[in-house]
Amino acid sequence: MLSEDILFLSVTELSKRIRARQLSPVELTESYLERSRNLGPKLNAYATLTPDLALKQAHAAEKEIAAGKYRGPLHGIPYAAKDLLAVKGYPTTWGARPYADQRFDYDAVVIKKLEAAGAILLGKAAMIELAGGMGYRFPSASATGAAKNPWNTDYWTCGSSSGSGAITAAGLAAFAIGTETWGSILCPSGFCGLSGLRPTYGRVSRTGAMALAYTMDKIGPITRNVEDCDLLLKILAGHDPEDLGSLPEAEAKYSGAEEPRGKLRVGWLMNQWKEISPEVNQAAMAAREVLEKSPSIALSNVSLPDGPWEVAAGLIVSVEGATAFRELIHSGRVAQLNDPLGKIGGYMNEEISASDFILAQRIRAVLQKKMEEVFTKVDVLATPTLPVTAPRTDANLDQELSFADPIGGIGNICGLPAISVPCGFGQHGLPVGIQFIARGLDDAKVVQAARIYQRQTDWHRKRPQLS
Amino acid sequence: MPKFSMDRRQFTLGAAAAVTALVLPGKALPEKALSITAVPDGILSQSGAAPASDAQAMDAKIQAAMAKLTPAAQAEVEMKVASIFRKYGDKLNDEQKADIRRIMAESQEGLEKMRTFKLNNGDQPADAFSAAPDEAKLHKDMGGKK
Repeated sequence: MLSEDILFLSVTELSKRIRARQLSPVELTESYLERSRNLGPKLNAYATLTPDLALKQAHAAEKEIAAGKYRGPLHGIPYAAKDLLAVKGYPTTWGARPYADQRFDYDAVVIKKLEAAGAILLGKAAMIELAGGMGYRFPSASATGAAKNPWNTDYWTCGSSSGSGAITAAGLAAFAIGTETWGSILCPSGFCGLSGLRPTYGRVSRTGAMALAYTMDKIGPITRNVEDCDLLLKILAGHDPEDLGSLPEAEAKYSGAEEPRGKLRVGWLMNQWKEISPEVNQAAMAAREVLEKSPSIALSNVSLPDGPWEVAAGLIVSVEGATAFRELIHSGRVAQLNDPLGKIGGYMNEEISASDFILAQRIRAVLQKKMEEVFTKVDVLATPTLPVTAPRTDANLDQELSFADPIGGIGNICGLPAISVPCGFGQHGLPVGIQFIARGLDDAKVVQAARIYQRQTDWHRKRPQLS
Repeated sequence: MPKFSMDRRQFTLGAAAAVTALVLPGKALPEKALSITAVPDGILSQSGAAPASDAQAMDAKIQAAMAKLTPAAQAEVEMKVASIFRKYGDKLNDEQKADIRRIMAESQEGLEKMRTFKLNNGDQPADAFSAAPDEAKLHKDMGGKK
C-alpha cells in the first residue's frame, strides 16, 4: 500500500513519476482500490467499484509504458466517474433505486476519451438520485445514502456529484468526473476543499451520460488543483456529432490555459450572496486580498444585473427534467426514489406551461446579452463558492441550504465556465471555496485566475485526516 | 424556488428569495441570519399520516403562501393542483398532497414575477434548434449517404 503522501498527489505529480517509472500504475491502482474498499463504504462514496477493469487497465498501462508507449499525462492514472456515465458491463444506476439494475452495452464518450488517454477506472461514484432531477430535500437522496464529507464525516459533501467530491477529497482516486446542471461540480468542490471545473456548455460531450436538462447539463473534472482541471479539460473537450448541444470542434477544443499576457480583470461580485456566514466571509475576504495584491490581477467590484434569472433557470431545468424522466413520472415509479420531494417533484414540474417555458427561454436570451456586457468590463467574476460550509448529513436542505444563488442560475443558463478552488476553512474544520466565472468559451480565463490564486496559497495542499 | 439549489433541489420554489443584497468586503452577517426561510417544521416524515400539529402547520404555510397571491394566481395554483391530483392522485398520500399544494402555492409568486419581466416582441427564445444540423451527424443518420 502506497503512502498517503503519494495517494494525495495531484495528477500532474503522479504522471511525472509514472512517466519516469518511479511509480507503478499497478501499485497505484491497487493502493487506491484498497483505500476505496476501506474508506469508501464509510463515506458512501462509491456506487460500484470496478476492480477487474481497473487492474486490467493498470497492467496494460504498465506494460505499454515499460515498452516506451507513453500515451500522455493520464496514462496509468486511476479515477472515478459519476454513476450517470455509462460504462459497458457495469451497472449505471443514476444514483436511483428505480435504475438499480440498469446496464448499458456501451461506454460514455467521456469514459472512452479517458480510456484512450490511458486513465484507469476504479469505480462509479455515488450521486444524488437522478442528479436531483426530481428535486430533493435531504442529503440521503441517493440509493447509496448521504455521502459523508472526508473533512468531517458528520457533514455532507454536497450534490449531486456527492461521491465524486468524497472520493477525491479522501484520496480514494487521483481525480473524479462530475456533472453540473446547477451547482453539482462547484458545490462538492467547495464543500470538500477541491478544485472543480464546470466547462462551457457544449465543450464536453454528454453522449452516454444521463440527461437531466438537455440545454444545461455539463461534465467536468473534480481534482486536487487547478493544473489538473486544465489538463483534464484538454483531454475531455471536443466536438461530438452525437450530442446536439456540442460545440463545433473549433470552439469545443481546449488547448489549455497559457500564462495571461496582461493583467487579468477580475470583478468581485457585490450582490451574489444575500447573507454569508462569518467564517466564510473571513476566508473570502482573505482570498480577495490575495487577488488584490497580485500583480497579475486588476480587481474591481461588479454587480450582477437584476432579473428573474433563477426562476427562469429553475423553470427550464424543471421542464427539461420532466421530459427526460417522463416515463418514470408517468409510471409512478418516482415513488421508489428516496427523497420525499423527489417522489412528487416530477408531478409538479409537468404542470409548467409551454408559454412559461418559452418565456423563460426568451429571458435566458436577454440575460446572455446582459452578461456579455458584464464581460466587456471584466474577464472573470469572483465570489465565494457558497455562503456557508457543508450542512450535516441529516440536514433538511430546505432550511440549511436555502438562499438565493443568482450566479448559479446565471452561469448555468448561460453555459458559462466556472471553477471552484479552496480558500480556507470554516467551522467544524470544513472547507470554504472561492469560484471564478467567465464568458462562454473563456474556460482558460477561469483557470488562469484560479491558478494565480493557487500559486499564492496552499489551501489545495491540505488533506483531511482519515483513519 | 431559489432557495439555493444544487441541480434544483426544489426547482420551482421561492423566487421571492432571489432578491439579493450587497455583501460588502469585510461585512459579515451574523450567523443566525442564515436561517432565511421560516420553515421550522419543514421536515416531513416519509410515510404515513402527519400528526395533527404538523398538518396544521402545513395548512398555515399553504394559507400564508396563497395569501400573497392575486385571485387569478390563486386560481391558477388550484387548477394546477387539481390537475396533478386528477392524474396522479391515486399515487399520493395526504401528506404528499399537502406538500404539493404548499410548493405550488409558494412557487407561484416567483412565476408571477418572472411573467412581469419586460420583453420586446422580437426577443427570441434561447433554444437549441438549428435548421442546419451538424453535417457529420446528418451524414451518419442517412446511413453514410449524402
